[in-house]
Amino acid sequence: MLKLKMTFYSALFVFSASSTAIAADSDSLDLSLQELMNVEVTSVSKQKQPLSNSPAAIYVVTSESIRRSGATSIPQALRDVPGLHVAQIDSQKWAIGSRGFNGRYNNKLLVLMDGRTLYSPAFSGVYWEVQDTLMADIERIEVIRGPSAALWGANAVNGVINIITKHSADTLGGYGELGAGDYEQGFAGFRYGSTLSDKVTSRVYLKGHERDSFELDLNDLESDLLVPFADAGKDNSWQHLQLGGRIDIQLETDTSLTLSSDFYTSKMQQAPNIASTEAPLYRNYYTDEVKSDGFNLLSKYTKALSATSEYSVQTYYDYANRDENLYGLSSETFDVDFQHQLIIGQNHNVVWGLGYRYIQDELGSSPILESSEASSTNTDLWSAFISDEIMLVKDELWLTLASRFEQNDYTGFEVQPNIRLRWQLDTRNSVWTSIARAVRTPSRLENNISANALNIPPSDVAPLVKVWVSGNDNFESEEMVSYEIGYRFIPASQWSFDTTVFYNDYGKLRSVSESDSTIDFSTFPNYISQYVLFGNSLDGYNYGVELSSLWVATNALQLRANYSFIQSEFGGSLNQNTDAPEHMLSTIIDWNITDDIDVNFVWRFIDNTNVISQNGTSMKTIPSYHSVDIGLRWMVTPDVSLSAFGKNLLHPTHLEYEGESLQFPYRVGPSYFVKATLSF
Amino acid sequence: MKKANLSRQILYLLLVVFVLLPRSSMAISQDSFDLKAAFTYNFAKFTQWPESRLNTPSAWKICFFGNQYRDSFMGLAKKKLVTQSITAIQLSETSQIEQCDVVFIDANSRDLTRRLFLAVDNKPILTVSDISGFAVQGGMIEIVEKDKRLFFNINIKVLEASGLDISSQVLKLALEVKR
Repeated sequence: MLKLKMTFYSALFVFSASSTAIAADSDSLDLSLQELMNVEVTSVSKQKQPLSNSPAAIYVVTSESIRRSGATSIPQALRDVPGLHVAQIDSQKWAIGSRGFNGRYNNKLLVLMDGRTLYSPAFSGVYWEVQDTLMADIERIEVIRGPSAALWGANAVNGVINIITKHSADTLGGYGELGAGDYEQGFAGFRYGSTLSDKVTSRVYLKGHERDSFELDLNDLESDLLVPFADAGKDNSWQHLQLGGRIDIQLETDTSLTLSSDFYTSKMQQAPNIASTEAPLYRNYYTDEVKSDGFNLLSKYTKALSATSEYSVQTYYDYANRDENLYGLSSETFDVDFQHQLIIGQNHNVVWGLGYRYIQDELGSSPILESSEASSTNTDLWSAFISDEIMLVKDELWLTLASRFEQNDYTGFEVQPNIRLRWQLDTRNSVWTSIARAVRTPSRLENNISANALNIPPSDVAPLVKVWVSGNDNFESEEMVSYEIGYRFIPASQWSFDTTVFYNDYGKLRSVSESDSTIDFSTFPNYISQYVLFGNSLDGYNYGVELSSLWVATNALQLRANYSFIQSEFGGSLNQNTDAPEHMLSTIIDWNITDDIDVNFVWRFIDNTNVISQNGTSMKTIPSYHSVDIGLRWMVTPDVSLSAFGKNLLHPTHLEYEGESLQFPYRVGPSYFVKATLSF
Repeated sequence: MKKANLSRQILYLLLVVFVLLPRSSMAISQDSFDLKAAFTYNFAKFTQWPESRLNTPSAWKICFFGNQYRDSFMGLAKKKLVTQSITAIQLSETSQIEQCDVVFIDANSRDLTRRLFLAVDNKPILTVSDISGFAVQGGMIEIVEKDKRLFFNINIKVLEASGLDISSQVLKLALEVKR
């Protein structure tokens, strides 16, 4: 036994000795230019963390970590971000939340791609399944936990996810990828980037995939749903096709213009259930094919006026259409934003901006939705913001004062101020703190749509009662004030820690109250309708800690550990899921076994997750789970790679999340795929 | 006992993997961050600086953006250029550029280039970057990665407009020289 230990330690010793030899090997500063040109760049150099100086809980998912994890969709790329709860509901649907309030229709997270909002204001939430691009063209994904409404606008309550694609000068040449597996039945992506002139670069891409259904396990169904519908909800497969492009033009040395456009079409199978007037269940289960398509066109013009001043004008048009039996909804968004950054004197870094957004939507026919307004409505949103970062002590202490002012059609004028302080103690230690107010403005659903949530069966004394949950003009914005403290510590260049403690105080949260309802007898004796109104009578708070650490052990080995803890206390309501898993932990190991072979290993633990049960009347706990992802890549030549990925391994199939009513629960299980890429 | 043997075999195997594999890739490869700092230092060394600068008895200021390059550029402090020592300065804003003799701006800071070009504005400040297209868009030297090696493009027009010149030896090594 002792000998064994000795062998182990000597192995460790040799290992560490060999790795320090790299550093001591030679000093590149002593080499001549010609010699330098002969030095090979380590194929995968240290993934130095672009540690942010910003006084916010920010985490950056780099293109390298997306590549290593084998993420085939944006939600997958977000999986191990500290403090973010990413859970898959079925083959296509996701619930992504930060600091509580997760759900299929999580409405407290603002998501943007290259400055274009992906948050659907007509129907609260982000349809993650149709937010896509070629994963290899993503430069980085910035995830800000906590409110950033002062800069980004309403609904950036619990976080902002900012997906930034690469400049087209960084995607020149051809790239193709092809892969297949069990869940990933087949996917392909292709991109070609070219230099049109010295000052103009462009790219076009095309991608598509076919994904298998997740498994439906009868044990997950509540007993009253079990018998008749064992077969109804098996198919939740998904096909998606998308294409797009981008052009970057340098008009002058100080002026640039970016144009981009995307188009997608998606076909998804699902098994929804809706209230019905038929005995015995008064609920109808059926299979449905959802069709969704969208198109966008974006332009951004940026001009520097001096070394200390620059403005940009961004405009975009976005069309999104979703057609399912439950409802059909299409929306057209036109948005224009002006932003100006200027440095005043030595100590003021000011950013201010103005924005206008016009949204026209069209609610299609629906068996369970009716609107008090015309099927097509339009809304205007005006906004202005200003932020001033003031350096109080040179290179040591900064104070940021910011606020956003918005005028929207549903709740009128909203002010969202923010004060932040950053103290750089030395090169290794920094502390920041923030107090911010943010609001979540109503969606069309909460303002003028009624949904037939359930039907109460008729009895001897009463007819059938249709229960509607109704949006109304009195529904106000949900509010939150957040207090955060963060600490960043870099004990050595290979080590870094980033931690945040937060306390969020919520008020005027959405509620439904039976005491606030009206009854319509006009259809008596066939049935009567009860309209229960949305109100704002809930409040509560949550608090927690998030920790992220990185250790770059050698050029070839890097370890990352992320942990988050949250506690919440809310007045009892089932209206939205205020809870989050108490503990979430993930460790990520990136190891370059050789210059040409690298491995990515992820272990994660997600604590018990509370969700709203299928019948919408109680909470249900999904047990904690842990899982392992492994990815292996071999660079066959500098231009060809083969890789294999295993996902959700070492744990039997399990639920990660259940969508808010209307849906069956599906299980996530182990899956694998292989992938080949070619650059030319 | 058999189990112990197996574990020992695994350990030996691990030892072989740990010792051999990383070494095989070690020979002449370098971290790209360190390499780019070394290139920048070399460009500064082969630049013909204006007389007025050479006669000014102050340390050479080599500036860079972002945390990621911090360690690599801080290493330059032990070097000398002509007779003066070198100070490496980390910048966060283009307004701080005027103090610099050399600026290295990395690909993460592409959004700052428009203001960088206005800040440099024909002053004798050597601009180096790994941003693709840098040399044709108004920068002086662009570092390019190709087949795992670093090369560079030079825009001699911008260099000369700023009152700088670069040794013909360097020009010979450049992939492309824009005139």
